Amino acid sequence: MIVTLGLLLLSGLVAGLVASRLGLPRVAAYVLAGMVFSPRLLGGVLHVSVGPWSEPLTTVALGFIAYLIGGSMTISQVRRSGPAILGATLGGSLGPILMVVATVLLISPEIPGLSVGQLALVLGVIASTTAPAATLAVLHQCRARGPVAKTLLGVVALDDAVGIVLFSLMLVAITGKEQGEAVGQAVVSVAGALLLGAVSAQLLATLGHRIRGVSLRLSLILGSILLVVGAAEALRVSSLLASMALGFGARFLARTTGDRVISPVEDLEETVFVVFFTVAGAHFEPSVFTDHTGLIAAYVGARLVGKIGGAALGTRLVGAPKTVVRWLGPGLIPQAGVAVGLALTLVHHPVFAEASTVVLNVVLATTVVNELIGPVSTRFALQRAGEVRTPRERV
Amino acid sequence: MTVGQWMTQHPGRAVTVHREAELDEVVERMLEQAGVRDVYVVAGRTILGHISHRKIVHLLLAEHRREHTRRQIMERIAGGAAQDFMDPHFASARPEEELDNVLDRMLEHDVEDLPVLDDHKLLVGTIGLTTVLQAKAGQKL
Repeated sequence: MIVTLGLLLLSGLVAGLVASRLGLPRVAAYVLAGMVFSPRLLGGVLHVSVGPWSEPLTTVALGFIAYLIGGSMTISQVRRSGPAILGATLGGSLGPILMVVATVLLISPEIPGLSVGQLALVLGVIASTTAPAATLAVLHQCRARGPVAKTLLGVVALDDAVGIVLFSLMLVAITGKEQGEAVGQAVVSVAGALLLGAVSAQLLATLGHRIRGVSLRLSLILGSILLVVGAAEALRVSSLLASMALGFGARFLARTTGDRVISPVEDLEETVFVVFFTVAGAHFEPSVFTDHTGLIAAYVGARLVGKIGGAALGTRLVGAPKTVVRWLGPGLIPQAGVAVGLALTLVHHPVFAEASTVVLNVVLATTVVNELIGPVSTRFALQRAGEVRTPRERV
Repeated sequence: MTVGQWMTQHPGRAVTVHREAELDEVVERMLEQAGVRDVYVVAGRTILGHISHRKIVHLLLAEHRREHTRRQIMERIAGGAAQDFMDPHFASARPEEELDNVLDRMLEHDVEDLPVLDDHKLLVGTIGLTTVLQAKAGQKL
């Protein structure tokens, strides 16, 4: 296990560095590095496999990302961000969910162990997430400035939070129904997660106030995330929601801009994404790509239409400027870490035992496609909105 | 030497802004005096929080940074007043404290201008690290 993880991390890192040098998306390189160690390729030869050990690893890693997302915002910041960003976030999240759900229901692919409705919901919710890093890279390259650029930034900062909340609710609904649980138990699962996160946040904020050294705070935060994720699993409440509530609550209760309870662990996000992509890549199953090409294409197309349409509708309803209504959607196409992380959590889930390979490989393929077309689409939208600045304008 | 005695010999004034001040005003106040790296957010003479030079630079030049954390993105787009950017947890000193103990605190918190507060937690002055360094260099301490 340890050797495999080391191999995956280092090969992902090297592949990512090479890709950056060549001007290619790092995400695709991470995935390719993981694919090399999949059972059908080098993994089979070297007897390297991503076994049961990946379950706790990905669960904790996603809990960590949820913590960072929860701690990235305050209520007053969300309020101040303005109606255009809030409208676009809701529209840009719900649009692709509706479109992907409708499209999957329409084409009705046969996936063993999962009903079409469940598959549609899973892929739909995953489709709502975006990729802040890819969007930021384009904005930086273009030195973009204007209402579209600002709204775009706001949406990519917020919509993963919406995606994680919806994914948690969807998971509670699907697994609860499968296991014959009543709606009331689902509500308890969600409320319990929020309560667990809130109580742990109080402890984290209190201890964080007393601990001065950054390195000690790092241990405190990582320990708190591990504790919350573990307790959530034991109590059978959503570990994702609990972790998000932990991050949000800790920042709120510590009365800080995030320096004390969030920033000590922020630098670890990229490492977590390397783990996600390489581990996901190691689950590569070529037959999914050949057998479900239609589903992959349908997902990419439906998400594209849903993002563009949803963002346009959301911004129009809140009276955003015309240029934002028209050009925001095409800027929201990149999709990366959170989507793959969410799909990875399904791998060891009993309800998704049979179908998880298909879901993960579909999300993996569509993520690579979206990471390739996304930056091009974002640049195009910014250019058409007239927000790309020439070198002379870049003061 | 106590902080109070030091302040009598080396009076220093903190750079302060009102809690509702916009970022532009915070920058303006910071740049008014050469070498100032700490701005304190106040309501009257009560200090509410601290904004470091580094924080101001990061906020002001955010668009020049290739990579942001999600938290930094929210800070960039949400904007706000001084009270939204400040850290309410800040280091301070009291006039009766020994200067040597306070210097350790300044180095630990990476603060150039440490506010000195009286019994009612009202601002009475600052200790400037540069002034301390000048005194040390001149063997006056």
